[in-house]
Amino acid sequence: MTPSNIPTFSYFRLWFGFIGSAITWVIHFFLIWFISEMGCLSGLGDQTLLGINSVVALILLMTIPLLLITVASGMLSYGIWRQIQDIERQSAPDQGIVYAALERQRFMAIFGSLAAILFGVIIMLQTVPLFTVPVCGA
Amino acid sequence: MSANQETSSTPFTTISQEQFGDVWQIPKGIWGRLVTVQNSVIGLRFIAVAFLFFALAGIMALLMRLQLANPESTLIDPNTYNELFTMHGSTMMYLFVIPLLEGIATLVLPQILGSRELPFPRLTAFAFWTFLFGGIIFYSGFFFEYIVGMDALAQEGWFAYPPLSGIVFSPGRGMDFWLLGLNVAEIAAIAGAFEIILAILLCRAPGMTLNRIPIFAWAMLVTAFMMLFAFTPLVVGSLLLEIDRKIGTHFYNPAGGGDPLLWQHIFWIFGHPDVYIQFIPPAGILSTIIPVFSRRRLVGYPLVVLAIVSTGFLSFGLWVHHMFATGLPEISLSFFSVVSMAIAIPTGIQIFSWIATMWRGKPQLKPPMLFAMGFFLVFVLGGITGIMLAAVPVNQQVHDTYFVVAHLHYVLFGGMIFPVLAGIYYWAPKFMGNGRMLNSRLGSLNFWLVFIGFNVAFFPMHVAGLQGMPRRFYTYQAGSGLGILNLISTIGAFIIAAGFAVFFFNIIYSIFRPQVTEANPWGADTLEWGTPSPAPQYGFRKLPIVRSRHPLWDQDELFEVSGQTKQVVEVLEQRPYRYRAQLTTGVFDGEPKEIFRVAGPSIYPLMLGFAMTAFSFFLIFDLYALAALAVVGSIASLVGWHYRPNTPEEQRTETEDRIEALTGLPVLMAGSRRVSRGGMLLALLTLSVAFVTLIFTYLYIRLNFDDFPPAGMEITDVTLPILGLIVLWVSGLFLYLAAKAVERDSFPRLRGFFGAGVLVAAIALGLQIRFYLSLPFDATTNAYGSAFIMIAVFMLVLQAASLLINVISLFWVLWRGNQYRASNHKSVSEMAIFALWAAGATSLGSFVLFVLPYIL
Ligand code: HEM
Ligand SMILES: [Cu+2]
Repeated sequence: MTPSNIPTFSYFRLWFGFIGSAITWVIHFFLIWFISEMGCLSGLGDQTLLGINSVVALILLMTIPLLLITVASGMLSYGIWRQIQDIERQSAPDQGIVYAALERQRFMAIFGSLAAILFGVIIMLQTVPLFTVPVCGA
Repeated sequence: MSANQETSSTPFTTISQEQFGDVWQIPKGIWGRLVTVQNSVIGLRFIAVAFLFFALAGIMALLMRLQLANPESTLIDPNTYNELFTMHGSTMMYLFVIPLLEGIATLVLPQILGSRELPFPRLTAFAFWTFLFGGIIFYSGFFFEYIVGMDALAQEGWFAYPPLSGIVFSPGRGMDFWLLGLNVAEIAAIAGAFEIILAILLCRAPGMTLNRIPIFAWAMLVTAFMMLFAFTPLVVGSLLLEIDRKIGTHFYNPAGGGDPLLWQHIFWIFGHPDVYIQFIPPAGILSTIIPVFSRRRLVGYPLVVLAIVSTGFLSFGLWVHHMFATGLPEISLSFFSVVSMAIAIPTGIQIFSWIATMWRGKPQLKPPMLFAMGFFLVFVLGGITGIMLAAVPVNQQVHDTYFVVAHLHYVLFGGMIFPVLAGIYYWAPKFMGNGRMLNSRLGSLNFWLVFIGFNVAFFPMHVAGLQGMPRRFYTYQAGSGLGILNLISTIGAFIIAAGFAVFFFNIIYSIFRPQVTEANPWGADTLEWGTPSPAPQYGFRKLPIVRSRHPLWDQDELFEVSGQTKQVVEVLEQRPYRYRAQLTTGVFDGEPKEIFRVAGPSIYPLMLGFAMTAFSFFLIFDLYALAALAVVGSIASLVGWHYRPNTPEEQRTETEDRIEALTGLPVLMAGSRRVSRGGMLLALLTLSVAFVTLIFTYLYIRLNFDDFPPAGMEITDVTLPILGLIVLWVSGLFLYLAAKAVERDSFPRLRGFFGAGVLVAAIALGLQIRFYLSLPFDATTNAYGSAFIMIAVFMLVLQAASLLINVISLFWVLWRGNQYRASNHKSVSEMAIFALWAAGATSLGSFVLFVLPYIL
């Protein structure tokens, strides 16, 4: 490996992988808060949708795509991480990773993979109260 | 560091250390002290003044503890007690912790990052002065209360809930001192945050890639962003409270359709992240110290960075968690509960990493490490009680009892004081008192007194709380069984005080100790220990080149590299030396980008801080004419700040050309383009947060109205504002074209487009002002009117500010146009960005005012 054929990953892939899951969590959090607050205020919480309380249904419905985005961000990072590991393995052992930019991209990928796990779990945890707490109870 | 000097391969003559250090010298005399902007000086001042406020707040705490030492004591009357806990809590939260952390960052960051100076030294100086003046206003309340005899001290606690803090319940000026004094100090915090962010992102040593940034810098980076997102709403919220009091708007006034709960929302959007703002940097200090004293690399660097970043995110999801007792829908409360438990995960990750690091190494219990250990014990207990508080039923039971006081001090004191003291003992030999160690025997004594005293003082409060002793109450009944607990607490408080007496003594005592001669007495791994002790004013003359996360452990030679980077550092070691030169590097990979002149001493930061503080001060006393004068003073200081007199040192010479040719980097004598662009983007971010806070306010108030807009307040004719908006966009377009003309280096175009942009912007502003002046209601009609007018005022002020800056710059362009090439007016592009952003914000605001209420 020479510096010229070290891959650099596209900005979008790196960044979406790096911080995508955290931002998705922010969006999810504000949405579920908004939906529950507004839903209860507007009386939506007294109706049902798909057989369950419609506030709960709405929250679950929007949790699914956002969770998928989180997973995608994690997979992307993980893919980059694996790719960089391969490059490492192919390079001569004494050389190791000497190229700062590659090392930095690996860091971002590791970070992104772990972040996706963390925020994915938190997003899922946040739907638990929907099943345990009376919706719109004061 | 001078070893390599002789072998330098640059064509420049080698200059002596004295010659090089000349421009970096601290100006002498009284005047010199006022104009200094250097990070080494300003950082120490920040720390010193913060500890001064800490001492004052501590004395108030002791007074409270004396009053509570025995039941039904009459030492202090109830009103005074209220003032004491308010001043104590507010001082600790606003005037001690945040400035102290910013001070430490200011002091150590440039060298940790392997650089010479912060990118905007004048901004740091401004932050310091505003902090100092804000604190003085706040404390002048004591003077006005006890000497002048007016009601000038707030009594509403550190979160100042309305309606108690409103004009009806607090008619005196105490709340005004509180709100306006602290607002000034918060502006300081925001200014400091800008500086920290830009320093970490743009001014690192060559080769310091994202993954080699020391943890302390990561922690400060996240903290600084959190400050922008947390302090800005607080500033807006307290301004609204202040105009409620002064002008009679109705934001928090239920009678006018406002809502006191709105304050709680805004306050806790600040307040909860604030707890983590106070915890993340100390945790960063621990992550710095523990590896050094364990002689092991920090375990799980990426995980720790993740923990820091995710704490930053999650902490904003906690804001409702302090309103458990205020009755919101249960389901949304539970979302916040989940976050308050989830945030334990990142904290746990960090604690795990520290323990693992110690486990693998051989911890040496030198004073910094002792304090780190103290942190562990205290913080874990605080965490446990915090989880108890996060559980909703417990919260309702112990809400507003001493249990909360105990928890709060375990978290704030434990999470913050111990690590910060650790940091001070750690960094003292490099940065304090010209490179002198603090005494380690006194250090141990200091530690044990504070540690034991702390637990003696605060542990019994848990019990008192569970027995129902209310917080914020000046006494308790005899025979309630609380007497002994409180007596113990008071004794503990005095032991803490003794501990801090030892600390201050140690600092004074260290002046008589020999200077540290070793560059790296602790055998640490990060760059700040790569400079000689005591560190020279410019930090690194020859910039280090980073090839590892632990450069001092892994790199035999800090300054060895080949290729272009070598050329850059070797040239920079010699030239330019007639002004303070500094390098900016890439955000991700730390590759050299530009060489620029860092601002030197100036009186304007002080003047601006003074004028802004005077403005607040005059408002407290309703002296509006003088306040207007202070605004003029602020503008004048800003102009002076940015005025470049073109002294000989600033004239470009062939040296600059040669440096450019040798390094391949631009030499920017008017300051870094990247830093000013970054500053502009951060300013826009901050203003956006402020604007969103106003829109949130507006929407929140909407919930209180059945008819929104209320009958008789509908807007029927929006021709003028829409026309104004269109014209505003046109002006933005002209400014954009002016910026393009700068790029193409065409002076006639620049003049034409810039002139047109300014003219058109004035027309736009005029159209809108006409409209808003003709409204059938005003800000005092009801809460709708208040929110409406506030949004309008915000948009108009933005445009007016943009216009003012542009008029001044246009004047500049026309006057100096022929002396510079058009391409020297690069800042026009910053103004274009601002103008376009202002147009965007105005569009959003117009949508909220003129469309949203009619479709919702
Ligand atoms: C030096 C040792 C300290 C002692 C003896 C002490 C003591 C006290 C006491 C007695 C109260 C009043 C409780 C009440 O009546 O409700 C209090 C409140 C408070 N303290 Fe401290 N404190 C100390 C340090 C600190 C520190 C370091 C911080 C923050 C970093 C802090 C932050 C607060 C806050 C925020 C309040 C609540 C004020 C309010 O209710 O509005 N204290 N403290
Ligand atoms: Cu909390």
